[in-house]
Amino acid sequence: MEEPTKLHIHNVSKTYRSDGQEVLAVDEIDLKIKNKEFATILGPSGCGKSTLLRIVAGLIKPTKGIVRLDGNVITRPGQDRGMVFQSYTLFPWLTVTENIQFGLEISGMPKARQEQIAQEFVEKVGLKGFEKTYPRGLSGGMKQRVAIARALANNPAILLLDEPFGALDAQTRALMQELLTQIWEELHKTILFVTHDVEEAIFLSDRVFMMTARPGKIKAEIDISLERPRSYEIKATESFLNLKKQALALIREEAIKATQYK
Amino acid sequence: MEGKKEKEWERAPRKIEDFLSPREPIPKSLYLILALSSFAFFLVVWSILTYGGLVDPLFLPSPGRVFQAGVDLFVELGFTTDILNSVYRVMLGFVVAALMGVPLGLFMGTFKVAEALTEPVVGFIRYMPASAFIPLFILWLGIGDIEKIAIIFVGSFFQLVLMVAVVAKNVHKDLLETAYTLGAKRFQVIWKVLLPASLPGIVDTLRIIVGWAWTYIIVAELVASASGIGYMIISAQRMLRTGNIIFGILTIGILGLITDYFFKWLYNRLFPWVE
Repeated sequence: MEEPTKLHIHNVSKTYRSDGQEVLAVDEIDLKIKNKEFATILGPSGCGKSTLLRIVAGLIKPTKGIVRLDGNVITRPGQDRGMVFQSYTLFPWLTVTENIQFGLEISGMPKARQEQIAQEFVEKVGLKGFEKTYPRGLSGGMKQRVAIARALANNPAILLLDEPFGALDAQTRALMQELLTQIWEELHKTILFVTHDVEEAIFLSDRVFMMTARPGKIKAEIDISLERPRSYEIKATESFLNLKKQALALIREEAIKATQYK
Repeated sequence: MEGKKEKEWERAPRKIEDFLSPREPIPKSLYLILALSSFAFFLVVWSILTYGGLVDPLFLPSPGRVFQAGVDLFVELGFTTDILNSVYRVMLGFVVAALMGVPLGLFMGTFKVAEALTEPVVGFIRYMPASAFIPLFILWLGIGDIEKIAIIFVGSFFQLVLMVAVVAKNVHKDLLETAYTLGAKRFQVIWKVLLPASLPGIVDTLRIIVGWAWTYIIVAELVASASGIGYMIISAQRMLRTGNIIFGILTIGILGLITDYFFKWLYNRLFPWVE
């Protein structure tokens, strides 16, 4: 059965003004993300993919177009859209548990329930034993685990991830991808993920949207029909490698075009 | 053979160069010795000059005489009252400046509206030296505590506001945005993110400002006063009691050091989470 549309990015454009010049960062993007889908926007740095995600989060206003979540137009940030940033955004004065409870406390949830939920997510992201640790005592990977737990604890309708593993080393990154897959397979949250890493996009997603640079447009869409649950071994299978080849060919084509027009 | 060489390397004595490499750590004991010897150096030079009879004791009394002068000050001349007077003035002026300056600085660093409204004025007044206000304040307020506190306020408040504003401005925008995406409203973002994130910087600013406040109080007391450390110093000068002057200056230094350590202790106590 086909899942209904969860998020509709409807003809969204964004122009920036820098040094008196207008720069088109996002150009008429129209996307529909299905309920419970893991969708990824894949594109080179500076292609406007983060801008698009921030528009969905409600942190910036689009110049043109609208975004609808469950049919409602997005006008500002809200609890229904959890976001994880590339930079470390844990509140350094709060412990792991307190960070995870931040959104719950703000919504006025009873303390006992907050603690119960926080504990549940601490365990989900594998940080048992670090409940009372301040962020300064955590590695980069652990910080991002807490950030993911914090966003999920709020029970958002959609989770937005802006290159969350971009600052991590390759080994930690691979482990975090597995963890995220695991969590998704368990919770089936709708996820919109942004990355420039082809392998990461294919490994995690149900669908990958390829975005081009300047102006940012969606160039192609690849269905990733790899079976689930997925483990790291899948990265060596032929079907995975074929998808990777297909994606890389598309990216190369774009890169060449870009050099020709410049 | 290899093993022997390694042993030799381990046991090789540390050379002077090892301690003169840029930013290389040195042993704690060496650090302490060096720190103490810098004090000892002053004491030795001072002793040679005075006990050696190289300078007139009228201009520079010996360490022993200064110590004696200090004892006399406390026992006979009620120096404790002077110290308490100065401490009281500094603390009151500082607390009033902090109570008003911290919130205003936070507003200035948080809202562009507040910044536009206050920054030009504050930035202008900040360049007027507090000591230049002394004659004016004496005319308006006399030479009592109120005038002293007013001088400290003028000297601290405007600097404080600007420094706190910078602290608030430097809070990473990502943190604010994260709070928004977690459902925080504007007021909650200020109260639950901007304020706690600024607190360490604020305490550090207060530590610096209180040091300046000590300078202003002494200047104000030197110019016109009936009590306080500065008053004792200027009276001692009139009577050529150089030992009392020097003891007064040393007292200010020690009081400053104590306040500084108090704030450092407070900082470590309050913010164990700072990275």
